Amino acid sequence: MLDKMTNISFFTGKGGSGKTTCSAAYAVRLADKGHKVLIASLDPAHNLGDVFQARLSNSPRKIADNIYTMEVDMEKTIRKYLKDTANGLKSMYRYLTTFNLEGYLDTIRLSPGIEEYATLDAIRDILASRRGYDSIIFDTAPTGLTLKVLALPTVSLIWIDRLIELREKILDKRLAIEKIQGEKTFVIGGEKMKLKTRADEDDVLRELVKYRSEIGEVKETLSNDSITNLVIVMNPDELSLYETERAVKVINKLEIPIKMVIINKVMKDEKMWKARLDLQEKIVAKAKEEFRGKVLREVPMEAIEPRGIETLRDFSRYIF
Amino acid sequence: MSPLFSFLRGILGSFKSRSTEYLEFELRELENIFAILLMGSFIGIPSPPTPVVLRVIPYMAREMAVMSRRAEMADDVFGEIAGLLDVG
Amino acid sequence: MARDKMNIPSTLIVVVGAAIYLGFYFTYGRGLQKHVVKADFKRKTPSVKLTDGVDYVPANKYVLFGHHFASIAGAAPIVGPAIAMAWGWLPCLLWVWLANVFIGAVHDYLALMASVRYDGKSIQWISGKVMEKRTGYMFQLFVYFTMVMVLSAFAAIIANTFIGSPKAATAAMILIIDAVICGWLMYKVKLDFKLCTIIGLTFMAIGIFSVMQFNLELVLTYNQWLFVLLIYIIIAAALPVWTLLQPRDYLNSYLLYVGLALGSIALIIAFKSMGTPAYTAWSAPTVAGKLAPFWPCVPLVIGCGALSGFHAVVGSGTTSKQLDNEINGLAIGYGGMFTEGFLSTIVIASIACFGVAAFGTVAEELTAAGISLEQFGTAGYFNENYIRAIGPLGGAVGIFSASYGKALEAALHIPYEWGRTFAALWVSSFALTTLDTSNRLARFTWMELMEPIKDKTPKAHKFLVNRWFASAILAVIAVRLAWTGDWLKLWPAFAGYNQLLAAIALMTSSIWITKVMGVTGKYKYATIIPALFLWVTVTVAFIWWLVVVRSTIILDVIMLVGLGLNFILFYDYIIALKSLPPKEKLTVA
Repeated sequence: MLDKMTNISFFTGKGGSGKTTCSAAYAVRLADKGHKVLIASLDPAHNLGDVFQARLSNSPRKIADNIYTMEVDMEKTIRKYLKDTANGLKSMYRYLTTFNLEGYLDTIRLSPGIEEYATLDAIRDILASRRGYDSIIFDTAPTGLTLKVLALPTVSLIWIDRLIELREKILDKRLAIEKIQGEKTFVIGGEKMKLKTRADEDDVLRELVKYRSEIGEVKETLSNDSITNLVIVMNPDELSLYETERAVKVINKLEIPIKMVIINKVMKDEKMWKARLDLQEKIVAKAKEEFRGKVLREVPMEAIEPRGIETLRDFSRYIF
Repeated sequence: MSPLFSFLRGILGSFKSRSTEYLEFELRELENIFAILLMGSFIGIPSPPTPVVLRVIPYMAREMAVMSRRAEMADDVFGEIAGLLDVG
Repeated sequence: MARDKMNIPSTLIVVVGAAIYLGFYFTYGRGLQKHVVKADFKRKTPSVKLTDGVDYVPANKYVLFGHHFASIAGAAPIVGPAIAMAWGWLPCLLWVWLANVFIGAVHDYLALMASVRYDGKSIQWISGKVMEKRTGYMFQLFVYFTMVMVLSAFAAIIANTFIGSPKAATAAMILIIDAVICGWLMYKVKLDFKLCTIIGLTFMAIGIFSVMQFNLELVLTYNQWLFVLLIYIIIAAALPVWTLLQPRDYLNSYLLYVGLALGSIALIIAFKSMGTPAYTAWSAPTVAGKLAPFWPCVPLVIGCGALSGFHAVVGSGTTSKQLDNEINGLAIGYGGMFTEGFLSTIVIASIACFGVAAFGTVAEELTAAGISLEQFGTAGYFNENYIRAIGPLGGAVGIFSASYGKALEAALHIPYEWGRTFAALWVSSFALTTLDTSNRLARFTWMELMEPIKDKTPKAHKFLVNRWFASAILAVIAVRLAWTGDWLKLWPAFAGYNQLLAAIALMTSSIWITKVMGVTGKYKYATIIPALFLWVTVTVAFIWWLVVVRSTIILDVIMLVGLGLNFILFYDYIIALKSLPPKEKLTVA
């Protein structure tokens, strides 16, 4: 599916960990090395444009030498997704009305997980249209969502394999009966149809198998050591550490290779602190200005992170 | 003589129908299960990834018909099975 | 003093039987159709109205007849009359003819048509709606108990048959192998259907031939056979249906029709006169060795040949969904039962005419047991010793298959051993299938029965509905019951429960007729009188059983439960009969 040379990187991490910045920097360095790079944002927050200080669109746009950017418009993707299916469903509209099911098409929009599937679909699309990129970088949504998306191929394959197995059993039985009783036709919504009994004439099986190979490809690509690379970006605090540990466990189970962990925003020396304090003052002032009329609280960074009811109670004095 | 001939032909035909009646019942149930598995998300049970469902639904007229019918008959399954398994 | 012998040839019996059935079909049957069921050829049946190519498919009426008849016919219409011969052939015939015409066939026909009018719902479902909800539950409970007893009774009967005819045992095993191969060819390899059939039947023929030619006998003791059957019960019901159940069901159809045809022809042209007494005494030792009065005990013995609750289940379970026109219901429901009655007629006639010759084949064993064949002509002696005498032949199936063999030999010059083995194979093959289906049905019914406790004690429920547990508990009870060897206790218990089922079905039908259909006048009595007569007969029979016959505690409890529930049933029936039409009445199409 992809050029052997094309590298794929996923940058994941907690919200605010700095993954967008890291992924963008990574892209710039690769571009300097001469790679033709596509960096795509899957994060609904779409910070990538802010980081590059450029406007991004739904399709690849060149913003510098060797650097192409895009941000996936989730709304648009979902709409396209549903439109594709709606077209496919038109053919069965007649019998949908027989069963009063046309209303169900609307509920799909709200179906749990539709965003994850749309994201996976977007990833698949991007991976499919490589157009000679040397590297593709994904700036992903915060860890939780991304893990769900990355797990999709594995989960889907389990379902699909079961469904295919069941479908083949059904076809086998239908064939046995057909051989004895002859071809069967049935009427639905006024239309006469022949009962499909063979693998090569069954549309359902064909779709299942086709989907399986598509998903299978994605899974293979994601697990491919020489192509894919997952980078986790974390911050030097406890919660970030816990989350990263958990994420690594999950990702290992999915057999996606993790090649780098970036600990971002590590405080090094005093000069940095001073610069940080100045920047901080500016931001606090700006926030007070922006959010006038709302209750504003400043909570100082403490040496020990609050854990447990006692320390939390202590901590809450800043909020009230 | 013609009714007699039809009668005999009918008896022979009944043998044929006896040769597949259990299989047909099994097939119905498998089709029902298949439909439920796929359409599960419409009725609140875990179901496969939506893309699969959406791609396959256009071809599932028959299975959906079976599923609807089985749902209607769900309160009389005992009668159906008892009638099928001929005893004595 | 009853008459000992009557010089009536078998031909006459068969012809009279056929005439009675045909006569009543065209008069009483037509009357039922017109005035009670009010069948209308213009009214769409569910197979047409709800046609879906899945369950509701209109079938050709002859095909449906053949299918329905093959489903209701089994080993029961043969075993029952064979035992009942102890009363003499005349009362048996009268019961098989008259009870069939006025009760049994009416029961079958009404159950079928009620189901047709209720969109193909089963009689169990209808009973829950038209009587009380608990009636539906009672139905399931009765079915479960019937299954337990079918398993034990038939296991015992098969074991006895195989002891009486070891060649039939071999033939039955060969048939099992034949069915497995046939099933594999037809459903997995998907070889051409006609070719598979030819292979299956040829294999069977060769099998029977080899058994006869090489004297292949499978000799085991009674308990050993029970053990084999126990294993068989558990394994067969765990296999996928295409492996054994489906192909054997198919092959059995040929056995049934060939057996029935050959038997009828043989008896008609044999022109042999009856050799056994026409009437022995009012009471005969047909139930557990105790002297059973003809009324109320004859339904406990003859059962299926005259009346069987299971026919209602079959008719309302599958047949009703395939009936293409209301007018054809008579031929299939009413006529089907008549054909079964005709089968029982053949059984009675062949034992009556050729039974003595059959006993002749085991003359030594009989003498050793102290039974003198010459005295069999005397009614009293026959009454006392008939049941004992059929033991060496292999029990009920034994005496039938031996008589059948003699009949075929006399009329068609087919060697005795061939005919005998064929008949024993025919009956035991159906019985073996029944063991399989009964186990499956019982397991399923068990789960349905356990439903109410699901919410109250979920843990217990989970354990109880585990399918291996359900299967095991069933097999153990059944074999335990059969172990005592007293199949003469088990058979009446099974038949009795079958009649209880029929009582529910007939009562449900009569409520449907009077309350839902609104039939008034004298015609409604065509349903009410049989229902009440049946109920009274069965109740008295059960009481008689509990008073006179003592058995294992399990059996006694089962019978007691049946009796108790029967009273509740009667109460519900009377209430339903007196009350206004049920609120939930579904409109007649």
